[in-house]
Amino acid sequence: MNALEINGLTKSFPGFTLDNISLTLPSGCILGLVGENGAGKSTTIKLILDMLHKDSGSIKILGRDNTDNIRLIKEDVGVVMDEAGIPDCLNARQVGKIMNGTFRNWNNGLYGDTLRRLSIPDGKPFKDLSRGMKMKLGIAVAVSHGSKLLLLDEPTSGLDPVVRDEVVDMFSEFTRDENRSILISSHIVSDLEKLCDYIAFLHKGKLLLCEEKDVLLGEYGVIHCTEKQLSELNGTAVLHKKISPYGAEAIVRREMIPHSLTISPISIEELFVHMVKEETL
Amino acid sequence: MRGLLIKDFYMLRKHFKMYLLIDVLFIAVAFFSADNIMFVALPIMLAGIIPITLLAYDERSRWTEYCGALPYSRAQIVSAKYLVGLALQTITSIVVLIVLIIRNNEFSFNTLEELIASVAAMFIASFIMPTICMPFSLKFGTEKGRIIYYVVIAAIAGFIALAVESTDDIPRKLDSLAGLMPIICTGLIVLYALSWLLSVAFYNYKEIGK
Repeated sequence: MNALEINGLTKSFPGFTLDNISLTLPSGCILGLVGENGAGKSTTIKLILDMLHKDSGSIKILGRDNTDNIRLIKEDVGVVMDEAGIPDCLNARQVGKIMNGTFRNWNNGLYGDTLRRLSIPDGKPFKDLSRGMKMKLGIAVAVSHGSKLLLLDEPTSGLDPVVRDEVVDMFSEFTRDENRSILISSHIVSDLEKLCDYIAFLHKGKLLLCEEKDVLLGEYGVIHCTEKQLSELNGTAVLHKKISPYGAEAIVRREMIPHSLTISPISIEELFVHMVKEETL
Repeated sequence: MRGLLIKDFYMLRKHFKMYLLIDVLFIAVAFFSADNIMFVALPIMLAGIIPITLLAYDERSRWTEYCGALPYSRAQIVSAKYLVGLALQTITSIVVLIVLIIRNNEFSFNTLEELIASVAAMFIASFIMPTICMPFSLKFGTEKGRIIYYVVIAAIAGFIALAVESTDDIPRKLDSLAGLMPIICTGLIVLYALSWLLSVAFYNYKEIGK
């Protein structure tokens, strides 16, 4: 079963349209939604949760239409918003009591363990926590009620590299159970590259691609060569090129490059930047 | 809905100490000295507007958005606020009633029934503000809803000023309205219920986090 199926999702606001988005997240996998600020990542997540009402298209969460008793569906969904959304005066202990009265499958023991593991003080008011601690508290809530799907909107932004690494490991661990999946949005592409099985590029409300990460990395590469060598290549093999007095660098389709040239691995970030620039041109 | 009520309880405990202080002060003044019904009416009226203040706190902390991601129906989110208001209005009215019964000789009630009827009237009057303001605050947000809040206060003040202008004998005028009290009370309760239904309808169509 797919954890998430989105087909032809469209939503218009004055000055912005999320245009005909279709993507699928298989169970047990992690899908990274990459896009610059304002690309439509948060809008997509809010549409999935039916917080915003779609203009057209369909959304299925864990096999159920998201307009068909969304309250029940949300019991199985853990959410971290870009701003945690917890009132300033509450501490982690009180948040636990609120969630205990909210989720049917709330697990107090697991919540307590997660707070300890992430070193979140349980008596400190939310307003006195650092940005990283606030996000970690949101994550602790999201994983403590037997969620089958996590929807994470920029959960690693504002976290220092050590905490980010810790959180990313936690997400990987979460999907060891093949019934659990994650949709994570971020513009910190390196985190997604490390974590995700699938990558989707979103730019100005349009889905540029949605593909398995390994397929993307296997399909594209980077070459460093002379300007002359570059000009001899088939035009469709080169996606993007940068020429300087010291030589040429190009993003290429691996299968169309002669064996005489060495192809280096490409990063998802390089590929994303290239695709966005192509789209802008 | 239990989680929503627990959350509002924590918010009340933290943010409404000043409200509690005003209540205690006014009720204490009524208890110890004054023969002035306004001192006991104000805490009950204030209780009615607390849910609107809670909504403003929710918006500021972005709880409104987070709550939209939790397993609550929109009707539950709205109903929790109405329930909190109703509970506070009821508790405050009961406290006021007890104070008035203990110090009945300081006030000019002839019978216990008259005293209870007066507190009941205050209780019912405390529905006016939430009845009008809640649907607007939920539809347009509390910032814009505040405009309605001021309009209602101005309308009530204007009504009282007009009433004072138009007659020299307000107590007698009020006595003549006593017969209409059951109709007025029933009408306000019906309007409160309609306000709740309207709020739920508005919130169902609201785009959360737009």
